Amino acid sequence: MRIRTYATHSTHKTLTSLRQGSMIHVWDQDFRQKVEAPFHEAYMTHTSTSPNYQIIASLDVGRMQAEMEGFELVHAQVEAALSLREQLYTHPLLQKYFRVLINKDMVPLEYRQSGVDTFYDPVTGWNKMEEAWANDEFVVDPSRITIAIGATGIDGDTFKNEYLMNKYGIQINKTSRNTVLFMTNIGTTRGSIAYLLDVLIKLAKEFEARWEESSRPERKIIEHRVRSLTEELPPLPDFSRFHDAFRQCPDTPQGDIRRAYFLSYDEENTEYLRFDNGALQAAMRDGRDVVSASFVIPYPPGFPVLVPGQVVSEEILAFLQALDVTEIHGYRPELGLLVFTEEALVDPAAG
Amino acid sequence: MQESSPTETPYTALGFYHKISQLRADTWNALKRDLGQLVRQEAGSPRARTLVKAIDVKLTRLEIIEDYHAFPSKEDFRHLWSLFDREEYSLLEKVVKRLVRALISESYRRRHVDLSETDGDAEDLETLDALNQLRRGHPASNSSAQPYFELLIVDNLSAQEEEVVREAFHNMRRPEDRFVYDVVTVRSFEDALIAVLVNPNIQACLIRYEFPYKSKYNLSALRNYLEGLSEQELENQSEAERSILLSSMIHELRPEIDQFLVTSGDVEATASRDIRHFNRIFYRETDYIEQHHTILRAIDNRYRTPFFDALREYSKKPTGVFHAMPISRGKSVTRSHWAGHMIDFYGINIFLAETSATSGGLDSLLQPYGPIKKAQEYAARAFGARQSFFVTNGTSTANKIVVQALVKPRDIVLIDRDCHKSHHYGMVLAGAHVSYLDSYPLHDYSMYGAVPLHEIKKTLLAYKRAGELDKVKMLLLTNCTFDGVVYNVRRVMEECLAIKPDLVFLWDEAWFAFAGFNPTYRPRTAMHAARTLCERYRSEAYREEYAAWKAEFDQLDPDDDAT
Repeated sequence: MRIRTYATHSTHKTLTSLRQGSMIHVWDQDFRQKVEAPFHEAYMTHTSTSPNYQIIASLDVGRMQAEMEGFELVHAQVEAALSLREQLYTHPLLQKYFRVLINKDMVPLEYRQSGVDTFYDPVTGWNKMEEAWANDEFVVDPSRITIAIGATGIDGDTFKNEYLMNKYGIQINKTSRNTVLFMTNIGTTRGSIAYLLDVLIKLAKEFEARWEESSRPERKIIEHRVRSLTEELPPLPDFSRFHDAFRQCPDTPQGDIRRAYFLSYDEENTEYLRFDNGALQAAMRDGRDVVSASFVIPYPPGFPVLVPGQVVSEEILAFLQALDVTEIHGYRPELGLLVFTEEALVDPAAG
Repeated sequence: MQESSPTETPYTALGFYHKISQLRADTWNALKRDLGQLVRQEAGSPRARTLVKAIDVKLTRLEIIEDYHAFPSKEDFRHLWSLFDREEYSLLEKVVKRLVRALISESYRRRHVDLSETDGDAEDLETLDALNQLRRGHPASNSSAQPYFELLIVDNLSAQEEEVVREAFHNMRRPEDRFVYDVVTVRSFEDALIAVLVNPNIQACLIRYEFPYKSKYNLSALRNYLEGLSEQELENQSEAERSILLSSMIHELRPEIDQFLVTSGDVEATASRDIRHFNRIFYRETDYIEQHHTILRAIDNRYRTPFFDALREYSKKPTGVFHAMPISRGKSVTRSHWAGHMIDFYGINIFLAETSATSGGLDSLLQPYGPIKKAQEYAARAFGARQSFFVTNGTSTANKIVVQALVKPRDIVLIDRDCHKSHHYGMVLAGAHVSYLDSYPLHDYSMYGAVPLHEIKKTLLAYKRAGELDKVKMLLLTNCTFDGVVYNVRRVMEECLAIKPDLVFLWDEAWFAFAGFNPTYRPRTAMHAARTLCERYRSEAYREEYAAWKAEFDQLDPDDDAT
C-alpha cells in the first residue's frame, strides 16, 4: 500500500497572495522513484519561462503569514461567518426573504452519520460542528453562506448584479437559479458583516414595501415568480454516457474525450441541430444517437451539461430548455447544438 | 441593564470557543460600560447593586479567558479584584478603560503596560497608540517594529514562582532582538490545550516538569479533542510520557507552534524516545539565555521569507539592464512623458523588483536551487506536504500539471463531472479515458453536492468485475466544492485503497487552502489525511488488521455492491 496524494490550492482565493498564485502539494510515497522526472516535464510544459516574481513573492509572504497567524485569521473568519449566520437564523424579517441553507439542506441524511442537522443551537451555541466534522461523509463549511432567495421572486444572477453590486457595492461570485453565496475570508471584518446585514435588512424592507404597494395583478406576477423560483426548478441531469464510438469497453463507462474533442476539428464531421424548433428531438425520435461535439457549459451553474462525445439525453434537453440563463458557453441559440454527423461516428478513428 | 446582550449567556464562556475572541472583546466593552454607569449612580441604590452584580459576573468570566493570555496578566487581575473588593469603583473604571484601550490599540504588543501604577509617561504613550489607531482605523501593523508573540509555559508553579519565571524571561530582552515576547503560564494538561486554542498569540511552548491533568475549569470546548483520553491513565503516566502526549495534542491543534521540553529527569532517556514534536530538549530550567535564543531562532525560522527577502535585496542593487524588459527598474516609465501615472499609482518598488534575471541572488522557478527552493520547502512545511511547488498562472495550470505528470494516454481517470473546467480540458490534453462520476444533486437549489463514496466504490468495483481495474489510474475530486461541501478525505482514500491499493488521488482544493490552519478543518484536507493514513498503514497492528479484513473481503462476491 502506497499513499499517493496530490492537492492543488488557489492560494490567492483564501489566503494572502496575488491573483494566480497557486500551489501544488504532494504526499506521494512514490514521488522520488516514479514521478519526479515526468512531473518536472509537465511543470515545464505549462509554466511560463517568464514567471511573475511578484506572485512568487506574495506566495512566500502568504505562506509566512499563514504559519504565523493563519490560526488566528481563519478562526476570526469562521467567527465572523457564525455571527452572520446567527443573525440570519433569528431575524424575523430576514427569515421571510432569505433562508440560509444549513447542513441538512446541503447534505442529505444518508451522508450525515452524526445526524447533526445544523451546527448551531440557539441555546447551546455552535457546539455541534466538531461532531459532524469528525464523523460525517460530507459536511458544509459554515464560512460559506448559501442563501435561498426564491421568496424574493428574484433570480440569483439578477440579485447579484442589480441588487447587491449596483445598489450597494457588494461583490459576490457564485449564484444558482435561486441561491446566492456569501463567502467570508481571512480579510472579513465584523464591520463588513454588519454592513452586509444592514443591506440585507434594507432589501427585505424594500421587498415588504413592494408587496404592500402592489396592485392585485402585480401581486399575481410576484407570486408567479416566487413559485417558479421555489417550486418549478428543472431537475439537474446526470451524466448520460459516452457514445459507443468513443468507448473502449461495453461494461465500463469511460470514454476517449480527446478523440471526440479533436474529431470536431474537421468541419465535415459536425453539424448544428436546434432543439428550440424540435429538429434535434425529431432526430432522437427517429432513433439517432445525437452526440455532442463540444463542451456545453451554462453559467450558472457552470458545470458542463455536455462534453465532447457525450450522447444527448431527454433529461439534458429538458434542463437546457428550462434554463433561463443567457450565458451558455459552447451553445449558439441561432445555430443550435454542435453535434457529430452520423457518418463521423461510423469510423471515428479517422478523426 | 442590557441583560439580553449576546455576552449575557448562562453558559461557561469557553463553551463558546468558536466565538471566544468576539466574546472577549464584547465582554470587556460591556464591563467598561457598566462601570461607566456605576460611577454615576448613588452608592447602595438598587440600580448600583444590580450593576455591581453584573460587573462581578463579567470580571469572573473575563478572568477565566484572561488566564490564558499574557495581557492582562494574573497580577493585573488581582489588582482589578482588589479594587472591586474595596469598592473603589471610579479607580476601577479608570483602570479598565486603560486596559480596554491597550487591548484595542494593541499597546501591549509594543511595551509593558503596568496597570497597578499611574505612570504619566506610559499613559501618554498609550494615548499616542490609541490616537494612531484612530487615525489609521486599525492597530499598527508590525512590519517595521519587533513582532510580538506569547510563550506558553506548562508547569505547576505557584503564583510567586510564576512571577519569577516571567521576570526572568523579561530580563532576557534586548533591543536588538528580532521579536519580543511575553509569558503565559498554565498549570495543567487541559489548560495548556485551552490556551493554544483561545490565545492565537502563543507561538512557542515550553513544557516543564510535572503538571496535573485536570483544569480547574470545566470546559466543554475541549470535549471533542479530549475524547478517548482517560484522566486516570494520564495521572499514572510518567512525566516524560505525559509531556510527549501533550506535545502531540498541541501539534494536532496548532502544528505551527514551536515546542520545547524542559526536563529534570533523565534527559538522555527522554531524548531517545519519540519526541518528534519538540524542537529541542533542555535539561532543567536554569539556562534562560539558551532558551531565549532557541525560541527566537525557531520563530525566525517561520517568519523568514526567503524569496521575498531576496527580491527586496535585489531591488536595492544598482544594475545596468542589457537584457529584455525595459520596464525593469522602471526605466521605460520614469522618463516617459506619458506613462508616469503608472509609477504614481504603483510606486517605484514594484518596478525595481521587476526583472527577467535569474541571477543576482534570485532564482529560477523552472529549476529552483536558491530562495525559491527554500520558499517551496517552507510551503511544504506549512501545508503539511512532502513537496510543494509554486504555480504562477493559477490553479487551472496547477491541475493540468498534476494530471500530465501522472496520467498517460488511455489511463482511466475517475472524476466528478461538475468539477472545474480546467480538469475537463486537462483530460483532453492528457488523452485520459474519462469516467465521470455524478454528484448528488440538490434539485431544490439547482446545485450539486459532491460524489458519494458508494458511487465511487461502485464504479471501482465495476472496473474490478470487468478486469479493467489495472487501467484505472486516478481519482479526481473537488474538496471542498464552491458551495462548501467538504469530503471525508481520509475515509474516501482508505476505502478506495482497499479496492485498489495503487490508486492516485488528486484533490482539487482550490477553495480550501485556508483549511490547513484550523484544527476542525485540517483533518479534512488532502495533506493531513494522507499523512494520517501513511502513519496508520505503517503501524504494525494495522497491517495485521488489514490482512485479516482483506482475506474476508476477497471471499465476498464482487458482484455485491454492498461491499
